[in-house]
Amino acid sequence: MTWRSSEEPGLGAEALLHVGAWALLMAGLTYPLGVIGRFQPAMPLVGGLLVTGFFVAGAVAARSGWVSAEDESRQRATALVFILQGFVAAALLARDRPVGEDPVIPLAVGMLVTGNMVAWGFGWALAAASPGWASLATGVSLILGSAGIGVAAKMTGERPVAQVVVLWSLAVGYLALARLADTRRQAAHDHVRFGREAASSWARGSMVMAAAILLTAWLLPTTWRWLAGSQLTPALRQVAAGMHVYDAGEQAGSGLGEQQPGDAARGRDPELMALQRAINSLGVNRDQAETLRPLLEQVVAADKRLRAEEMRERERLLRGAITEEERRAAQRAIAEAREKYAQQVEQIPSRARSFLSADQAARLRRLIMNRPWRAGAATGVGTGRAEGGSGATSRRQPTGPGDEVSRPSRDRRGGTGSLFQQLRGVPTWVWVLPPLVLLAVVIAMGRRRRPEGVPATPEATEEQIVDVFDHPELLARLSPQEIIVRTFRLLMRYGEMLGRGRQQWESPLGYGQELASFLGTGDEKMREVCWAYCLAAYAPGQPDRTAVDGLRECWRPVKEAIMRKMGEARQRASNDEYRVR
Amino acid sequence: MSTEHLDSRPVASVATATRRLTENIERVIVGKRQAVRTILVALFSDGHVLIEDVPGVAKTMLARALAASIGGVFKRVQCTPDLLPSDITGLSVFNQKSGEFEFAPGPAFSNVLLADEINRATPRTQSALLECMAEHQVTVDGVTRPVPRPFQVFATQNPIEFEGTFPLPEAQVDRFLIKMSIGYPSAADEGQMLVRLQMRHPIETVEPVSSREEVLELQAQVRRVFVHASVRDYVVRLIQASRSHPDLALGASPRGSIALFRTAQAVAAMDGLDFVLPEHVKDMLPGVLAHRIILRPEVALQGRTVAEVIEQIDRSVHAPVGEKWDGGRRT
Repeated sequence: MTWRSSEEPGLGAEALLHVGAWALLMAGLTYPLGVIGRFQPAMPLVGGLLVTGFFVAGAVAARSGWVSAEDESRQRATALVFILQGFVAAALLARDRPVGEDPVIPLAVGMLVTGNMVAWGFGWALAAASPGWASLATGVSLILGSAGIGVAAKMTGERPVAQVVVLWSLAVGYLALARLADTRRQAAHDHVRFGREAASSWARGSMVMAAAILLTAWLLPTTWRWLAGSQLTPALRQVAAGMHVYDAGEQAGSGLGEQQPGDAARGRDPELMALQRAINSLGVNRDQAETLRPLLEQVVAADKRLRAEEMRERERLLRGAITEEERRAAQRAIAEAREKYAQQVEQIPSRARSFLSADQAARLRRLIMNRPWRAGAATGVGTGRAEGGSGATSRRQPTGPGDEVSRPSRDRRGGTGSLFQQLRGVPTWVWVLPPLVLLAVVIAMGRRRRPEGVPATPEATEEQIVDVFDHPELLARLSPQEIIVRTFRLLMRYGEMLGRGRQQWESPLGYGQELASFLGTGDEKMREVCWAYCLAAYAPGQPDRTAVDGLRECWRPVKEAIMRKMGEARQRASNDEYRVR
Repeated sequence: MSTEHLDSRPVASVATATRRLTENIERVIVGKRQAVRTILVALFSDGHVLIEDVPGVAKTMLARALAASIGGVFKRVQCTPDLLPSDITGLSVFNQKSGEFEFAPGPAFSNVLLADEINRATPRTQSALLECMAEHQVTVDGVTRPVPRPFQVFATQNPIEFEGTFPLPEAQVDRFLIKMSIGYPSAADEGQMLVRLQMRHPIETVEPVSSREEVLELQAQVRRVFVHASVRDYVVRLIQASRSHPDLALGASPRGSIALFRTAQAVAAMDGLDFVLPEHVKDMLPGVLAHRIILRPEVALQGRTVAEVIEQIDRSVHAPVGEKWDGGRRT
């Protein structure tokens, strides 16, 4: 992709073509993820819209001159990686959540991508201010950005988002630590590669992109809700409804209410909603879910009875208004409830084995043992109390004592125990991810490590546009060898810009001679510059600082001649343009 | 080339000797600075020279002037079809007085041997030169005798008369370090030449400005000239490019790599440098490759020349400039 929006007259056909191509690409990438996560095929549309928003913002920013086209292009590549990461996170998230109640997925993706972009932007802004600490700043900002998202996710009670973000923060932490080890050297490089202005431009670009993505992510669910609840054409409503993830409870019509995508979450029994999530997490299909649901509802009912008995006894004990006989009767009732619950629990996996795989049956058993609906009851009770007077809980089953029971469990949600429980729910392969990231970083560092003073090859193109003599701090930091080599590269770069680049077979001295005659200047100084390069490149040993001083004296007149020639070329081009007009 | 900016490690003695020898030889050979330089390269590289040129352009004088300048023994062999190997290497003759066979050294026992019109000698005689050129020794009657050092063979051949000649076999040609031609002098140089020759030939007055021992020392110094890995790699890539060139039936041999390497070292030392530049390699490429590559017949029929192909080879290979080679430089 070489599209540079700043060179375009506007968002014309080519720009739209690019956006469309990217949207299709994202659709192709996200559709499999949607299938894995049991999203409806609306997921590709989400990806396409997100990327579209991103590109439009990038084009506007680059066109306005606030961000350089190069930075915009670079950011597109980086952001693409983040967007892909976001969709992977969304796929993980979707495994555990029916989104029909609230289209949180685009928001989660947007938050992840935005957090990353903001973190990078912040890091680059610091890098521009203090190049020596660029890597440290980037690493810290990444951690802070990810942690901020994690806190936000935690505050909104989005358990799966919190899971993903915790994992992401771990990976980023590893990355940041690894970068710290290489910080000084890398920082010098980054500064040289992009320069102060470029770093600032990068930072601004990141902020623009992040804002655009976040806005798109916020707008999407809102629009969906509006579409689904609006009185527009039936076809449009159908499309909007199709964007919501399949909710087996709604489809089965099991008393959880009619299909109300907009505000379903407010009108449902939280325990049954938690149960529905748990069923979804088993990875069952629609038919299996419908068969399984009544069975699990029996278990939930038995568990409720058990909890009610336990609570009733506890309250009596607390009040002290219980006789020995009553206590025994209560214990018998509790024992019976426990027995009934145990029977239900024992029956479920065996009955479900006819339509579940062995793995699914095992997971179902673990699920029942963990009683995930109790957590749902805790949330539901809180919501119910808050909304008790509004009638929003009209479809909830009468829980009576359940309200009492749920209060302590609500308190547990914010503790480390709850976090541990959440982390236990993460698939095993996800745990392997951070060590793999660490391993990759270590390998990458090993490859990047190079002898002192050797510039990295990939960054050579950017290095060529930096005149080290214009950067005293850089001049002090680089070895004479590097200074000489970079100056000669800059000479070649200027030659290219003037249309007299070095041919592949040309030797340094031969090229210098050609360039000098092209510039129409005496070739003495030019020869000195090329000689310095020859000494640095082919002679034994290392040049010393006196060689740099000699080079500085020769380089100034050469550069002046080059700049003069460039000015003439610009003037000529301007005259030609005037003549054409 | 300017050398003011180098550190204090130039091979100064080679450069000085080059100046002295050049000035001395130019007392005889007028206006042929490049030819003089080439034979000095061959001398310091301890190699042999194949001179291909028309008659009368001072091929013999060049060799004689060099021999006289280093105080060496000069011998000349006029190659003809009836020339025998022993005419070059020498032979054992019976001494009636002592009643024993004694070895009578041939022209090979000299410092500068001129084999004039070598392609007129038979292949048997030509191959007699093989041992002394490559091994610097002569074996006669089962006895091996070293030739004096330095030892340099100048072989000439006429590029226009091929009747009755025996083209040199590839094995023989490959043993020559450099192939060169002298060419006609310019009008001014030719006039100057006549002035110098008016009274007597300048070769008669040429005095040695160096010695055989000094030449041997200079040869040793040349071998110590530093060749960076990137330049070494450049030499190899150039030679390998000749082997894969589509217009060539035969590319340069590994001996060609050695020759290019050595001659580049010699040129660098003659310029007063203790390291080799890509320019030095480029300078020597035509001389080293010209006799080592063979054009395909169909390419030759199209009128393409060896010089054109060599230029093409030169342009097809990246000079060791840029980040790829800079990066490897400081390891």
